[in-house]
Amino acid sequence: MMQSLVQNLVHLLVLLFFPLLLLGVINRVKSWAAGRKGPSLFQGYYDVLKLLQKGAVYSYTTTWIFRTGPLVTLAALFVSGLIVPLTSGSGPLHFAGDVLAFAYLLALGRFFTMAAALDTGSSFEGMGASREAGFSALAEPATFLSLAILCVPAHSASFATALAKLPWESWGPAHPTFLFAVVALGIVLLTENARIPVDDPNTHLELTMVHEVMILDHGGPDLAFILYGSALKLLLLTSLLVHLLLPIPSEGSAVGGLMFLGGCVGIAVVIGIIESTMARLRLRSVPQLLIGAAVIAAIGLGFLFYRGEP
Amino acid sequence: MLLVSTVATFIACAAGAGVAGLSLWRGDGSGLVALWSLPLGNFHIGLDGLSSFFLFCVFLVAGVSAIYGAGYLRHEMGQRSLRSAAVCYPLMVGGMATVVLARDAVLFLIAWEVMSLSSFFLVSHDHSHAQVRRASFIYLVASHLSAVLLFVLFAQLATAAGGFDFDLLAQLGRTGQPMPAATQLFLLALVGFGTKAGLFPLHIWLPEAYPAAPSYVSAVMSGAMSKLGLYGLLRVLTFLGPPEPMWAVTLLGLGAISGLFGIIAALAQHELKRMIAYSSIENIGVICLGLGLGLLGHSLQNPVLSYWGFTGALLHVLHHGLMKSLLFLCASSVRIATGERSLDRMGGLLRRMPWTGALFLTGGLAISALPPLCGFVSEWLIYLGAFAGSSGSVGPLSLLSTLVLPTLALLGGLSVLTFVRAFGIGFLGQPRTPAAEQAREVGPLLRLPMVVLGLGCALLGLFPLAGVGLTSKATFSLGSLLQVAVLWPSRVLWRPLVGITVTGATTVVVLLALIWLRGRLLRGRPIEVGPTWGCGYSRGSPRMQYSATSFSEPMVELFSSIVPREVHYKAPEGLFPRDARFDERPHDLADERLVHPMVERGNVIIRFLRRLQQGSIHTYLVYILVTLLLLLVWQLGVTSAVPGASGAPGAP
Repeated sequence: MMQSLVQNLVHLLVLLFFPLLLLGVINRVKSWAAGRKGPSLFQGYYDVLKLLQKGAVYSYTTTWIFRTGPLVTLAALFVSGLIVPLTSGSGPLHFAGDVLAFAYLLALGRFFTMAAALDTGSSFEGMGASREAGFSALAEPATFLSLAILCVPAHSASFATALAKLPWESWGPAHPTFLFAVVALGIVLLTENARIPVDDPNTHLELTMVHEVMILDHGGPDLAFILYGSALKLLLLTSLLVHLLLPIPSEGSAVGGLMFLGGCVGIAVVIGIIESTMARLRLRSVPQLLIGAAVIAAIGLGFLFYRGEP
Repeated sequence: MLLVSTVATFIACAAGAGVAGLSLWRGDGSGLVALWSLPLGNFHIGLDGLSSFFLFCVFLVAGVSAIYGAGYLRHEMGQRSLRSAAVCYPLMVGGMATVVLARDAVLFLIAWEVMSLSSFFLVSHDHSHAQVRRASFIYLVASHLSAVLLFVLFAQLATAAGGFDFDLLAQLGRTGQPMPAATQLFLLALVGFGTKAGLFPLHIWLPEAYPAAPSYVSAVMSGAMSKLGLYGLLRVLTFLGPPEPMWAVTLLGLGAISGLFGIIAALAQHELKRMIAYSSIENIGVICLGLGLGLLGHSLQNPVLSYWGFTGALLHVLHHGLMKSLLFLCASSVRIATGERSLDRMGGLLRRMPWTGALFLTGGLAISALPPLCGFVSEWLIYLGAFAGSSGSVGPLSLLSTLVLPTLALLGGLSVLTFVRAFGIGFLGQPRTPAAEQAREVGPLLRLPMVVLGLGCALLGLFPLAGVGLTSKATFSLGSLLQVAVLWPSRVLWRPLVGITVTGATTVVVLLALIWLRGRLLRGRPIEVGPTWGCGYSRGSPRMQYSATSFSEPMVELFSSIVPREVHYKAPEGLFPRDARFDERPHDLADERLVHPMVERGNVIIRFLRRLQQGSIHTYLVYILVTLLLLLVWQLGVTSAVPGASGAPGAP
């Protein structure tokens, strides 16, 4: 009982304070690669603190949707953060079928981000919402096929059970299925978090933005919530990858916690390297990438059935 | 007249829903047999778990919509006669209830016709518009073509069973082995009932009729009547013996195709009601996926899978009834307030119609299967079925059940896109037309039914145990009727359902905490109001907003083979361009590629027959003479071939 209390507390602390560090790591890697000194690792925290102290400006077109949009998004992301396993093998909230609740809570958050963008009546933001909606709809099959790879061998649609039953002894070349899931989920991660090659977080031209353009009109505490929320989303999807790549003990332990944090930083470094070495795709090619991700995951699932695992 | 009709319908629906609910609570009800003077069949009605559930859904949707109907028709009072609307609505509800209750094929078909015909008169309510007349004609033709198939189906069943009573028919399947020609009968039922349900490619009447009908009628047709197509299919399946794997595969395939087609076509629509109509096709597809999984459970000998599949499908019937009626009623309120049909001519309505806007948002979230609303619960159950079906055994059937996962996921993603678009373009931003600018919230009589439906969506989403409890009798009744073993996974069921409640409640609590935090942070700080960021351009007009067409363009372009479009484009020319325009009209794939060519071919054949119709009385007299002569020859031939078979009537 005591142990699970500590475990949940650690989960909550990681959820609250760790995500913004990942953004710092990515930016640091990118500035290294570009030969710059780069902002502090903790720049994300400074930004959020600064924004939380500001007032607000709202467009006269907007309604309560614009004001509550970032809050609903953050609430949905936070609760899906309670479902996803972080430092141990299960989150504080777990039940059969929690995998689906996780995925659909992310969609709820997205719905309100897009609705808030449309509330401004700006064509830029409408354009961003349209792109975001299209890309994430096409990312869903890849996500669910990857989740199926995770869940089908365990006979359970729950993160806790599925991760506990991952066959670590036969992981890797002997059991390529999970590699397919890692690749597909990796592409989903880059898409959902508006990273290169789908979206460029550094772009300054509204016409080429996807995610950034939807939040142009937000400011002050609302923007702080959005910044923290997007860092949180990055952490959530990263944690799925980490759990697929590293044998983190399902009962919480200090070693497991450190492995998890290290794994997340490692993936952030990889994202930084991808962003430094690649250009983004043309918008018209993004659907191909996403359908490709779904196909990769489907092949992985095919392997699973071919081997007679389920 | 209108008042009497509404009050009577509402009281009847409330009482009926109460009885159906009670019967769902207490267990199987009993039947009633009465003799009647018609040849063939008896007046036999009965209530089992399956009927009670569908009856409950019918009365719920119809009762709530009746109130809205009163408010809706009040606007037309004095301008025209409302007698037909006042008579046909209760007739339609009665027809639907009798369809569900009937335990005799003849009674069933009579009720089916009453339902179809009365709804035809309701669809043609605004018959002064040519488009409405065309839509109701298509509806009438489609209903009757499907009814012909149903006549054939029941005639074959009755011949095999030796009677029209459902108890007799049910004996057919109880022999333990599948009926001869069961698959043909299944396909016949699928086409006949699938037309009513609106399965692809039998749906073509649906996107015409729903938008043409008054919205409170569309709400009932989409929320309840289309489900009776599925009820009929299920009822006939119970006569055919234990389900074969091929049926499950067919239902899964049709469900997936209907779902994807429906939602992609919905995405391309500009008219709000037409969009909601296409989304019905998607949801029927989702229900079919659930039913298919349930039947697959029989083939895979996985009773838990059957449980998830059937419960998910039945619960989605109820949930879809609530959310789809809600959306239709909201669309109707927008129509009343603005007179506009097209999303591109709305905008900014949330500010002017706060109730309708918030309720449309509720319905949109629910139908996009987002937690914590009801649509999520039923799709979640179907997902769990798909997971259960993919684990446990290896083979093509379980792989098929795994493929349900990405299909549902894509449907979910595209629904989010569709309903963000509808809500965002229609209700947010700036009004695009003067009519939208001057919109006013509708009156309390129209608001009340919408609020009731919205509350239903929220409560069933937050407390899924209630919904699952309501369907559990129906699930087991369906299982035993279909001879499919259904296992209640009681050990594992409670926790996840409570888990959903906890997840939903936590989301709400976190949201409230964040609202409080934000208010706290902003207290005493300057809050300014200014124009939307226009990238330095300060002369933006409402017409420059992203429109529904532009919002969905990338995806519609990607799926252009599924939604053929008619595009008129005049590019801007010269240094000072004038009158550039872009006009896009989505067409229906099945209509364009399948039905229209078929009708064209049919017309060629019928053109020959047309020569018979000369309009000259002499020719017709010749026809009569020829017919009589032929009959005489035939009769003589028969009597001479079979000696002793005399006494043929008509032989002098």
